[in-house]
Formats: sequence, structure tokens, C-alpha cells
Amino acid sequence: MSATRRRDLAFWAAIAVAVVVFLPPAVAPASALATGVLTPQVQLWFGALAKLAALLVAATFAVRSRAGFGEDNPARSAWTLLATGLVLYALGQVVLVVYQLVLAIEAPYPSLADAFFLGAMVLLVVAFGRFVGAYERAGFPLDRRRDVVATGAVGAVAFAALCGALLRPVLGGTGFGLKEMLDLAYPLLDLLLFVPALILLRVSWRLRGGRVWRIWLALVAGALLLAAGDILFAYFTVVDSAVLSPLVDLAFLAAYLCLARGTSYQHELLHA
Amino acid sequence: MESCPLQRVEEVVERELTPYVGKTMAQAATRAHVRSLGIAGATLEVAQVEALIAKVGLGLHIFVGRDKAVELEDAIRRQLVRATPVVAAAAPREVLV
Repeated sequence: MSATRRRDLAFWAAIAVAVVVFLPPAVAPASALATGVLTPQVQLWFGALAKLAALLVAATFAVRSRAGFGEDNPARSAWTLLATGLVLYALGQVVLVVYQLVLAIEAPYPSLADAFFLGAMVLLVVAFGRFVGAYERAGFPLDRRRDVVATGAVGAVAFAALCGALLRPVLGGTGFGLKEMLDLAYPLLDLLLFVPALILLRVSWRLRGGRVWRIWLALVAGALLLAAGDILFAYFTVVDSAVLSPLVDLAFLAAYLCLARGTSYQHELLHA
Repeated sequence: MESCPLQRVEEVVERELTPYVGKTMAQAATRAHVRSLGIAGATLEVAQVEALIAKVGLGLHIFVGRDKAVELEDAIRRQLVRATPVVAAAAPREVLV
């Protein structure tokens, strides 16, 4: 069995385990499985360590992939930004692990972890924008620019409408402190990430069937799941719906796993 | 000057590009590069073949890095060498080994 096949199997196995651990407590919180086996403590330990492991894998392969692109390669700066962003994500997760597993207390919100996460998101937004630019410079026949721009515009409007509907409680709240600002900052950055991710999805669609396409399918899926996780987190925080919080963990873990698979696909392509 | 059939060159380039960018893009990219080089006839001179290979490699290196792009360029040359003696005559020695 090839290394790519083995990693594909590991990826899907990890996704399946994440679904098994987080979905039952969200959809059937009173079930014996949720109360007896998949307790909040089990979810906490599994979620914290699995997310950290996925981010470390993603960051490692991103750093190694970056090294495979020469100084003159337009994709190198994008991989530098992506690798740095994933390292910051991993550092943010380390902070959460220290709170949740070492100190055994609920991680405060906001905390130092949010500084790392926000910095990471900014880098990911710029990285995805650079990837779009690098694609154009490859000289391959891509979609017309106005079609690509229209795709981004439609996606931005749809995303903003969804955020506006889900985050109405945040916008309509009486107090507006740092916590509320972060509740809005995350979806806003997600919007900025969503647009180039959507454009990359459209552009890379023409590469379907090839090994390059798999990289971008995984990375774009990771970006979209990050956005889903942030929106759900902000929404559940405001409406105080702790029962559904396993869905947030599922979205984030799936996002990190997709990012890990995307960066490892690129590494395989460079070094296989 | 001796020449290579355009159809044969396109087939080889498309076949070597397909694993990386898929069949659809491999066909579209090959034809776009042929057009951008101003190739209109049914045959290519060796210099035109080399220009096409270089252009394909230059585009692909953004996705797969310089080393893989060079591997692909050499693979295209090897394929053409087998089928087209005129390319063999102009190919670098290491490609023929």
C-alpha cells in the first residue's frame, strides 16, 4: 500500500472517530452512549489532544512543503504564510490544552489562545489570496476574471447574510465588550477567508482528477469548516446552548484534519 | 529542417500533465501553450518543441516545485525521443541515457 493510500485511510479513520465521539452527545445528549461513555470529560480530552495533533501535523507538512518551493516560486510566500498561520493555530491550541488538561480549568474567553487564533486567521486570509495570485501566474487557462470575481462576490454576500442571521443576538446585545468583539471578529475574518477559498475552489475545479486538485480540495474544505466552527461557536456562546457545543469541536477538528491532509498532499507531491 | 507532428507532441504533453492537473486542464493547458507560442502548423521544429516543454514546466513548477517540473520536462522529452527521432537528435545527453 502506498504512503498516500495509508495517509488517506488514516485521515478518514480520524474523521470517523471524530464523528463517533462528538455527534451522539449533540444529537442525543440523554442517550446511554452520551451519558455513560462519551462524557464531557472524554470529549474534552479527545478533542483537545486530537486538535493539537492535527494542527502539529498540518504545520509540520506546511513548513516542509514551503521548503520545497524555490525562492523564485510565486507559491513560496503563500506557503510561508500558511505554515506560519498553522504554527500559530497550534500554539493557540497548546494554550487551550494547558488550561483544559494541565490546569484542569475551563479556558477563559478571551485568552492568549485567541490572540494566536486571530493572528493565524489573518495569515491564512493573506495566504489564500496569494495562492489565487500564484495560480494566475502559472499561465494555465483559468476562468474569466469577471466570473471569478462574481463567484467571490456572491459567496461574500451569502456568507454575510448567514452570519447576520445567526449572530443577530450578538449584534442586538446590550453589552459590547472584548468578548462580543471577538464573537464578531472571528466570523468577519472567516468571511475574508471564505471569499478566496471559494475562488480557489472554483479555479481548482478545473484541475479535478489531478494530484494538485486534491491539495486544494482539502485546504478549501479546511477553511470552510473553520468558518462553520467559528460561526457555531459564536452562536452557541450567545444563545448559551452548551448541549450543541460538541458540534463546534467536530467542526474545528474536521477543519484541522482537512488542513493536515491538504498540506501532506502537497508534501507528497513535492517529495514523492 | 526536420520536424515533429504537432498531434504527437500534444498527446505526449497531455499524457504527462494529466496526473498532476487532470485530463481537462492538461488538454486545455497544452492547447493554450501551443497557441501562445504562435504554433499554427501541423508540425513543430525542435526549437518549438523545447519552447513548449519549457512553458509547460514553468507553469507546473508553481504547483509542484522546480524538481518535479524538471522531472516532467524530462519525461516529455523521453516520450518524444522514443517516437520522434528528430527530438532524439537534439535532446540533452542525460535524457537519452
